[in-house]
Amino acid sequence: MAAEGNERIVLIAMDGSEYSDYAFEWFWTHFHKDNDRVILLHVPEYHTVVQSPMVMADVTVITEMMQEEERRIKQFLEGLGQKLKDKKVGGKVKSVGGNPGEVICKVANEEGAHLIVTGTRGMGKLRRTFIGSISDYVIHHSHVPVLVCRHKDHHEQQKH
Amino acid sequence: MSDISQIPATKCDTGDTVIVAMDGSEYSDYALQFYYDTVHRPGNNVIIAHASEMKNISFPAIATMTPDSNALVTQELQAEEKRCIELVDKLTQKLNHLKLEGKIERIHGEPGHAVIELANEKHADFIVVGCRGKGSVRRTLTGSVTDYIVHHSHIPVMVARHKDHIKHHHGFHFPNPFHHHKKHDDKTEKSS
Repeated sequence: MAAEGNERIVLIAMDGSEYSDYAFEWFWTHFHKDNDRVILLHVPEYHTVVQSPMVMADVTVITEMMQEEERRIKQFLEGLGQKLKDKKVGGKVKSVGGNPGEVICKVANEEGAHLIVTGTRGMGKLRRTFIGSISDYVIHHSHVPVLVCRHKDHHEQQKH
Repeated sequence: MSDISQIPATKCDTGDTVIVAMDGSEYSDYALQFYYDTVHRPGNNVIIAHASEMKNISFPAIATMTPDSNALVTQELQAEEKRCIELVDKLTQKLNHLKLEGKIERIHGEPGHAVIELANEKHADFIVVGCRGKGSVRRTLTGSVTDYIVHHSHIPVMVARHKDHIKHHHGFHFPNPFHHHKKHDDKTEKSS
């Protein structure tokens, strides 16, 4: 199989954290090739909204929070689309709900991705692990190669 | 190409320095093939890291304190050396076959740790590994060395997985004595 000239379909998991932003930029500098098709995948999680302590209060409050969350997500997805435009690369932005690790693997299969790119940690607060639960899931379950981009900050933290 | 990298320029100033961890297994063969087919950029400086594993030397042989024990240990060490030399030959052939310029470096000690040390020493930009190696227990989804490297590396790691690598696993299963699992063939040609 020839090296150059083949189109690669690359799926980059984006959750809005600095880690996935870093993964995106790193991929661009070190891995990207001219005829890549890049799929930016976002897996919105609504359960964080519903699990807040307000949930007992009022249906209208929950509805408002959901709508606010949807607005935020829409804005985020537009930002992702802009990223692709700025880099002048063919591809698309997808937003699929569900369990993030599973969704990433599933969408990669559906889209025929050749490579999955993830950061090491996402929006979660738990810092005891060096790699987030979702990246960990994808590394163990993906059917295609996975590029795990460690954020340079981790290096500094590990020095202690 | 804009340079966001915070690592100072290496010997090869246009390309990245890449460490490919190889142990002679089909999984690391696939990792190199995938790297070459899909990831490699001209100007990249490729270093293949292979480990000699003294763990392969059986402990009972050393434990026997008969006068022959030295000979036994020496034999085992020599056998391991021979394996390493064969592996280096095989890797050199692979590089020639792919027409890929690269260096082969032997690393010592615990493989995962040694790969990371080498990556630090060479100021590598990223590491390429197979999803498991020769020795890994097949019941795990990912090999222990790959796992170690992913969790401890300071730089990006690409784990070269393939759906065929997963086919023979269903998590835990009780082996059926009437059903034999087919030996996994080399299916590197199947890469899309």
